[in-house]
Order: sequence, then structure tokens, then C-alpha cells
Amino acid sequence: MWIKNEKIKAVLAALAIPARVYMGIVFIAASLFKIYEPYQFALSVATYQILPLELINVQTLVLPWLELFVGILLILGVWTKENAFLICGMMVMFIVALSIALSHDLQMSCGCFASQEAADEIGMHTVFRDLGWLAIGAYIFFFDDGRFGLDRFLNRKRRANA
Amino acid sequence: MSIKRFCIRVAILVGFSALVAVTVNLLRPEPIAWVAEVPYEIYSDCPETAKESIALDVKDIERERDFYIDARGIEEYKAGHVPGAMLLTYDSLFPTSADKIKEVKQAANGWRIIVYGPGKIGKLLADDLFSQEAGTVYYLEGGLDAWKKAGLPLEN
Repeated sequence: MWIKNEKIKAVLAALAIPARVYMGIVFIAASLFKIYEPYQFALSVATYQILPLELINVQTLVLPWLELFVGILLILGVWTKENAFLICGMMVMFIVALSIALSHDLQMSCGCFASQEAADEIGMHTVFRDLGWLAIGAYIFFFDDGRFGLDRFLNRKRRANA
Repeated sequence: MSIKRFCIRVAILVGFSALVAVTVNLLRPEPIAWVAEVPYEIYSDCPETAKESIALDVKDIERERDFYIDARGIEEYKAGHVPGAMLLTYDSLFPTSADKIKEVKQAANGWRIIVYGPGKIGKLLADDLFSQEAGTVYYLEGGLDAWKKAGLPLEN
């Protein structure tokens, strides 16, 4: 990391703990409806009219599990940087999809946490919300150095074995 | 950390998720096809809505000269509704039929029509009724929750 001062690094890493827990909860919450209601989620994905038909079900089936595992591991602090990277990747994907849907004037829900019928309509507020989450993901990626998570113990064990 | 190890871990996370997804899908009573063959029947509201109904605060209601429409489902209606309210469950796929509009007009008898429902449902139905010229249609801001908070009575 470019910051040399150990105290600042420790403070920044400590601030990443609530960020990790928050994003973990967000992703776990987002995954549950999708795992439980795959058809509804597939409909949400299809409503964006971005993915070709052949890829809709693949995304529908895999994405929720990735969200769930990323959320759990992020809270535990296991492979934090990798999970934060995946979160940023997913957020970029969601923001692009939302932007395309908004540019086409689609009146629909984002399908993030609930089905098309149950959730609020997408708008610029949804994009800003996702941009906020992207920023939190990026913060975790850059400033969480693993000292406050299970990564610390995993790294210590690896070093001991080496 | 080396980029190689980073990439391997990311690949493991994605691969493991895919593996679990395959397994869980196989265990479903009706597994989902990995490649959809029939296009999904998607529905998105038309951006151009006709006429917009008017928002009404619960403080501004005049119970003697208001006709209420409950846009919720029958179960919610049975559990408690505004006294004298007519049940007209909102269906996002179909506009209210001409027969129903006629029924609403007759029942409202020139009174202002106030629609309530959860979230945006009340407004959507109110817009639909207003567009079809059912009368002067308002939607109750905050739905039935606002009504209850104001201490107004309910009917079962």
C-alpha cells in the first residue's frame, strides 16, 4: 500500500471492519431472494433486456451463490481483497445494467432484493446507491490489509508452514 | 500478494459458487434449464402514462363526501379496510375494465374517489381510474398505514 505510516494504515484497516460487515449483510440479503425465487430473479434479469437469452439462466443460477459466499467471507475477513474485488466487479456490472435500463426508460424494479412486483422502481437513486456500495467495496479492497479478519490467521499459518 | 494467487482465489470463488449452483439446481424439485429456450414474458410499464392522479394527505380527507377504493388483495381487505371502501385489486398487467369503471362511477356517485394501497399501488390504480375518467381521483399518501396512524376507524 502507498501509505507508509503504520498508525494510519491500522486506522484505515479498522474502519474497513464495519464496511465489510455492512457489505457482507447487503450481499447476503441480496442473495436470499434470488436463491429462493430463481424464476422471479430470471424474470428480473430478462427485464433488463441486456443479456442474450442463453445467458440469463446461467447468471440467474450462479450470481446469487457468488453473492452469498462473498458476503459471508467478507464478514469473516477471509480472502478479503479477492471478495472486495468481486464486489466491485458485481457493482460495476449492476451500475452498467441499471444505466442501460434507465437510458431505455424501462419502468421496472432493480431485482436486487425482491421480485419485480414487490420492489420499488429503478431511478437515479438506485444508481447512486450502487455507486456508494462500489465506493465501499473499493475502500475495503484498498485499505483492508487483513489484520482484522481471519486472513490474519490464515496468513500466519501459511508463513509458519513455509 | 502475487497477482497469480489473487486470480486463482477469484477463480476458486467463482468456480465454487458455480459448483454449488449446479448442485442446488439439481436438487430442486424442478431444476431450471441452464439455457432458457423460451423467451421470458417480460413486462415493463409504458413510460408514457396518461393522466396522473392527485396525492391526498390523510389530514385533508372529508369522510362524508369521499368514496374509497382499496387497491390491495382480498385477504388484506378482509383483515381491515376503510369503512365502505370498495375492493378493486390492482393488476399491473391489465387496466381496469370498462365494466369496473362504470361500477366505480355509479358507486362514487359524483363524490371524489380516494384510492389507497401499499407502496405505489394506490397511486397506480388511481392513475388508471383517472385516465379512464372514473371521476376525480386521488390517492391516499401513505396508504392505509397513514389512515391508521391518524386514528381513523377500520371496518372488517
